[in-house]
Amino acid sequence: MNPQANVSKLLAMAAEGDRYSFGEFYQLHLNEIYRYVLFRVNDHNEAEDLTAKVFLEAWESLTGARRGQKIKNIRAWIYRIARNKVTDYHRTKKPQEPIDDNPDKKLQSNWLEGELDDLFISRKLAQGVRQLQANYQEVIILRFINQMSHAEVAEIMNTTESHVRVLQYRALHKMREIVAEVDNE
Amino acid sequence: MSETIVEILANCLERMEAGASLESCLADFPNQAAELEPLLRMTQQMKHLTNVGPRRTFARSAHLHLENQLAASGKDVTFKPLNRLTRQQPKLLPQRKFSMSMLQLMIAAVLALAATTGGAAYAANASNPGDVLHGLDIAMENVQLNLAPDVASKVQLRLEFASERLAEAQAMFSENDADDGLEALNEYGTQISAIAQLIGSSDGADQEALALLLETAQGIHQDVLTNLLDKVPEQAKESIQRAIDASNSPIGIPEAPPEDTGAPDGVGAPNDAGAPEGAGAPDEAGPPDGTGRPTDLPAGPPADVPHGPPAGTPGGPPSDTPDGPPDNPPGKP
Repeated sequence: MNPQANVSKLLAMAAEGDRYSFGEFYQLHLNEIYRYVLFRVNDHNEAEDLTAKVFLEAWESLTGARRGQKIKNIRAWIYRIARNKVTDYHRTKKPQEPIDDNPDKKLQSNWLEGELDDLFISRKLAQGVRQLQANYQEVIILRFINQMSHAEVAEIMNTTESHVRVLQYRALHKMREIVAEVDNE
Repeated sequence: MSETIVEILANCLERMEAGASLESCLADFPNQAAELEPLLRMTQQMKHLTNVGPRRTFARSAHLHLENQLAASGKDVTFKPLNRLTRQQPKLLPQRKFSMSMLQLMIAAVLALAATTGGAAYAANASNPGDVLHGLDIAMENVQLNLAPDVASKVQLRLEFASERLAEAQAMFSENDADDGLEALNEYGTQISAIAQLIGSSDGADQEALALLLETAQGIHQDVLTNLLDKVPEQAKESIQRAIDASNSPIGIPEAPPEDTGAPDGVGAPNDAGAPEGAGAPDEAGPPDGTGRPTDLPAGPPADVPHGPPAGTPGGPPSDTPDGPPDNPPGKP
């Protein structure tokens, strides 16, 4: 049985009120959802809060009013919940000073650096990700950090695979520019 | 921007994801290689970022937080780490009755863990006695026990906790920390004693199956304890020997519920190996002395074991035993 089928079974059991199956599902997806949210919001505390809300909504969706709805792709489904949470977060949070207005800020950020002290390249890349515009950022996170396929990313972003490929190309070029700037500073 | 290079990049990435080398891809597209190479290398470097994960404290507290939220809304859920027994059997706990095949799978899971780790795997993600987080671990275990739906689930949870305590004891003794090692052994004894009481409170087929499961686990624990004997300071040997004796003891399942005591006969360690003082007794249930529990530690009944009356006797079960004694639910004479 493929992993997707296993997870489908877990969710089907969870929807029937099997508490442990949802616990298993949570364990399976916690890290990647947290990582996705963290790179999108750049704040550990917010990422933790939003991640918890993602799984709460997933459970409510499974067992509540929308119970019985057909979930075609479980991974895409949980990511779409996370995506909506991130979108809501950005919509309601206080406006921040644009990063580019103060170039020094690029290097002051410490949201990930503490964890990546010994990975200088990773640190630069993490800085690059956080400076991308939202759709580029999303493609980079999903494709290369959470290692999803073009098709999966297209489903999560509600677009076509060919558009994902275009976004991917542009995002990587932009990332390269940003990382080069960091190298020159 | 060329559409062609977009497709070539996507093609190369898919090939690399399937195992092809970056060099082979560049060789196939020499005209685009100069543009492709830095982009492809960057995607490879980004794999380092997959190491970013939630803080351990979050992973722990998120479980608890979500459990509380769901429980408050009547949609309680219990989370179990994947490296435990349910990894092999996610559907196991909700089962009210154990079939023989399930029992065999449970035992196989216990044996597999023991064979590959010597019993130490359970402690891989846990704090040890003396750690700042150990109290939190224990508190979370109690929450799990409170949310466990039935006796079989509680037994399985407690069996996991017992194995964790034993592995912690191993770790502590290997670090020459006899005090914390003994504390872990004491907690191990508490779990085993509570399991025996829970089994005593279960009924029919469940009781037989759970007793067999416990015996199997105790056989493994005994090996671990015997190995420990050679590695611990003199003052700890006696406690370990008593724990071994306790794990040798038959599991006491009462033939019939006693009339006026909560202690199932034979539960816990045998008398000559440090009988569990009050194991199963209504208000004094605690770990068996035979497992090295310091006598000055407060003893109290485990949260999920029947306080006093085992199955079939009046008195009512604890609030976290939803199934209750099979024949006499709370408040029903």
